[in-house]
Amino acid sequence: MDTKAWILAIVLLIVGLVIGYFAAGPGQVKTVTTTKSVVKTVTVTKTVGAATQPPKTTAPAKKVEVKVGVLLPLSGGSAFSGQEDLRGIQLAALHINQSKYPNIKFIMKLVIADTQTKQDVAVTELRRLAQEGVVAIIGAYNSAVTYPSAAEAERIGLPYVVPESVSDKITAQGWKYVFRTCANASKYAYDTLWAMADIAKANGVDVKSVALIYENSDFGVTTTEGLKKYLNKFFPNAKIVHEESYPAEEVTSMDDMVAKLKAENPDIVFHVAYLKDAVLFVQTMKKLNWYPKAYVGAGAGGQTRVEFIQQLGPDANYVYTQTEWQPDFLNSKALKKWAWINDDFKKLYGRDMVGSSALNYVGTYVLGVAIQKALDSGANPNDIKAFRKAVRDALETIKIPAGELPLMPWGVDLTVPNHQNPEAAVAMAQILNEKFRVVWPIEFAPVKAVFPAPPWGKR
Amino acid sequence: MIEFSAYTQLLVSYAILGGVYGLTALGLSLIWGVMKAVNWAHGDFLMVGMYTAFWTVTLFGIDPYIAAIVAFILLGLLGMVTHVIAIEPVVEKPGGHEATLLTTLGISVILESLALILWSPSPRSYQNVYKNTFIEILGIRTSVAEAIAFVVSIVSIVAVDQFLKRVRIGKAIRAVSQNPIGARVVGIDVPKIRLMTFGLGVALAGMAGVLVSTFYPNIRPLAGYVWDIASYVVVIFAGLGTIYGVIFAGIIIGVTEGLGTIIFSNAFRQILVYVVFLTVLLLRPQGLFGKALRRV
Amino acid sequence: MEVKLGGKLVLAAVLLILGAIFPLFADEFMVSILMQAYLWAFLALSWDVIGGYGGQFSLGHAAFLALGAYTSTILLQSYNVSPWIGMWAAGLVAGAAGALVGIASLRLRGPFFALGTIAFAELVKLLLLYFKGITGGPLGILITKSGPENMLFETQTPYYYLMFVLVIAGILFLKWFESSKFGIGLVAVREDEEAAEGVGINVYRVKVIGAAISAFLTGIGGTIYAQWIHFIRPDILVKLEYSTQIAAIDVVGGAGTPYGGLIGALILVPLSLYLNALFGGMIAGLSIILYGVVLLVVVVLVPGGIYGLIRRKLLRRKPQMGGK
Repeated sequence: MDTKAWILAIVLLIVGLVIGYFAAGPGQVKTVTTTKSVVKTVTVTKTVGAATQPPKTTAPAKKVEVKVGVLLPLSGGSAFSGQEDLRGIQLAALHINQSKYPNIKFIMKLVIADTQTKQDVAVTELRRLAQEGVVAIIGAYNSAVTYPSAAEAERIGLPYVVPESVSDKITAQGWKYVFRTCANASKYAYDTLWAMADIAKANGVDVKSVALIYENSDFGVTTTEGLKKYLNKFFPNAKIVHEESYPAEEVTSMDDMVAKLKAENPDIVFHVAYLKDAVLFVQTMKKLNWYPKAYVGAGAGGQTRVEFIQQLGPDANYVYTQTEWQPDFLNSKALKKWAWINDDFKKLYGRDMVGSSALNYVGTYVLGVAIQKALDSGANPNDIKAFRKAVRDALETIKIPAGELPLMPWGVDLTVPNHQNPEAAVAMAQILNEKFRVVWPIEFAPVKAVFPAPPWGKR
Repeated sequence: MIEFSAYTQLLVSYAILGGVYGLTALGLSLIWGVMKAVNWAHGDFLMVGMYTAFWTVTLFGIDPYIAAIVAFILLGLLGMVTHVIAIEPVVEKPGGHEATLLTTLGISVILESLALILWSPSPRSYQNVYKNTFIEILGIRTSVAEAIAFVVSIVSIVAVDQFLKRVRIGKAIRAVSQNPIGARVVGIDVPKIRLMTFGLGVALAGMAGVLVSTFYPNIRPLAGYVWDIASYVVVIFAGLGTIYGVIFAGIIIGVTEGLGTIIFSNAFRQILVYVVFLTVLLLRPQGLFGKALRRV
Repeated sequence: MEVKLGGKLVLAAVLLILGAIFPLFADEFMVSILMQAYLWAFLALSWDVIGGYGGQFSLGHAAFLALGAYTSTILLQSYNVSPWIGMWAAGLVAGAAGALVGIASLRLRGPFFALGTIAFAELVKLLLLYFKGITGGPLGILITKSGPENMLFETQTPYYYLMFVLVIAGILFLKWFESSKFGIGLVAVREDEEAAEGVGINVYRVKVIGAAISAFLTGIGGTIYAQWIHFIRPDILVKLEYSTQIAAIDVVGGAGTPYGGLIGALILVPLSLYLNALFGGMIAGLSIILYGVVLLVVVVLVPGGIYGLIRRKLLRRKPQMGGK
């Protein structure tokens, strides 16, 4: 058979793909999964293109254009999270450019780079972005990638906003150019326990025993360390009856862990997990016919994703999960005014925002405010080095009170020495009727938590 | 600590898991045993099988077990195309093992990235009643999906074995496996047999992908990876040139893994698996059930 | 051969000068890309000792990379030992592990050896994760020191020259190695183990030392990788992807030749980084597809790698006696 012909065919196919892509225009083709798993394709033209032209309605004066670098894992192991994050960032930039925020008056042009979930690629791409004249970076989802790339940004003198990586160490280095708008892993752990203590108290249940199950990478280990540290502050009578870690990527069966838990029968199981292992764990609990009083997803990992409910259906009910953001937030009085953001998101992608897109939206907004401050201070955006310094200085003065920050119930305060926003908090949701419902903070929650959860047979 | 009944439950759970390992390893074992070529893209063919299940079930609403047949056919064709592009041109040259390893690595990279571009990285899933229906015998529970996967695993291993022993093409495959030069001398079209073998091996991988997707969550471009590792371990344990060995090796590994996690911690289990794997590889490279190898 | 020698020297001199003055007129991003190409070239050259000359297809070299990186980084961060000294310790630790793999290669052939090395690499990763006290476990180690005395530089140019010198040293080493008694012995073992034994070559010694040399060099590469990236963690360092990339670069360039690693790295590394910069923000994954296609095309259509092709087409040299 003619081998060369086959290889030629493949090369042609790929060339065709590239040409076809560019022929389709500058917009991006996104595949969006709706809740019914029916896939439709939405062509988002001018998401980025709009950035180059000032909107017709306002601004007689010519707007300044400022480039912002986006560093995310768009391929590789974390691609699905990275692409979700990108949607949040792109929407924020679109809103800034459409003058939806009167306090931000420049054009934000995004320069997007793929880390491939690899640290060396991320560092190389960060340098490229620096060279292309970006004034700041947003990224990079994986703590392990954020870490070395932020170190590099610090060396170059490039402001780096971290909207989602949670590893405590990122803001523990005394870096001058690195700022985190979201909570760190310890804070996630702290809020988990706080929420569950409040909920248990409200339902009159005394928690005597807990179990800690976590995936064994940075995410699981740091969050669990936090849980252990604060456990007795919130549950003075509770004992850890079982603790076990596992490799999230390689795990094929969780029967052993569930069997051990069934024997120990703890009141609460705290599980720090990604998506697949979280789904598998709940499936296995059902198979072995056991459920604790509360199964809690700590660290806002896999349990907070919409796919978690899609895959489990009604079996996902009564699962608690930490969540950075839910559409349910918009039902509260304080946050109702931000519903238009989610509406725009729905128009573009056919479904609601999720925690990670909202966090990245907020991070981009904060950076936008800082860049505007730098512009207002008279810094010249053409003198790129000086302007980066000005953006950094502006970031250090950012103080947005709760209520003024889009989407979130908390505020941002980056004036603290370590640049870790102390106000970021994490809510607790429970899945009820196959929907995430916010149940904590209790005074903010539209519904009451079900505690303890009914056993499998009585659902 | 765990009661006795819990142990029997786990024993059954992990035996079933081991059976599934056997199923995922079957295609790999066939290709490796017959052609002496390592199919590095094995896990990615499993992944394509899972996506086949997802698409046929969501688009046409058919039963996932019918999707398994669809995947068997589709992946068989895909396997033959792959063979023509990546295996046949290099398999007979000196350094053929290394070359097939690299060309299938290329195929693996291409399949993963194509899946990423075409189907996005979002994890997919489809609803089926089988994973939510349970069988309970003497207090031991398992889901119907897992039970069916186990049964299909045994049936397909028996079927492949009978195919190799009784059907003409099967016999020819065995002949090529045991003595390629002799097979050519007696008039067997060796390249054609290789093509058929590779196609069959990939088809089995595709079918295994569908069956795994009935109970294991998350269909995504890198989903094949985890079963890939298990498949290699099973093939090495079983040894080459043995079909029944695959199922025994699968079950032994499944049960060892399960008991290992109870006795040791889960974090230590993996270290144990690789230590045992390397030990078997070094002390008995022909595997537990394989015949002594001639020089490769 | 003699006639060509002058031409070859001129070519080598021109390339050397071009490489040496490159940072003067290229921007930092280009320097950084070429620096990474040299780094991978050096790793591929190291792999070549066992993978190319030795014919033992290792897919576990990321483990040696990690062992090297961890050794020098632990020495630097915990014991304040400069990586200029630590890199030799890194080489020795990796070399010792390499010797173990060499012993295993006595029993394992072809794909079995490849699988064995993969399992070995996984085991190294798990052990690095397990011994948290020394390695930091899943949290990894961040290099917090600074200064050239600790092999840490503010710009890319010093790293570039460091790798440039190392790659040249690596090529010169391979050139010397392939005509040394030991190198010839290694090739003889690759071609026919029994015959080699027949003429008095100690197969055991040759295989074990060959693997140790290869791992030693990879360990040194690991130190420089760590010093360049400043952060190491088991699961992002011991990646099968990295192991296969090292082997793929060498095979694409031309395995078993002194120049294969450099040629392969100069083609594949900038290609993949450049394509990622070009398409990464739009169609993530496309750059990786093209990487796969190049690998497939070269292995199927250009056996002997690109260096082999150049040698056949341009230099019209007849294949050497006893070569593949």
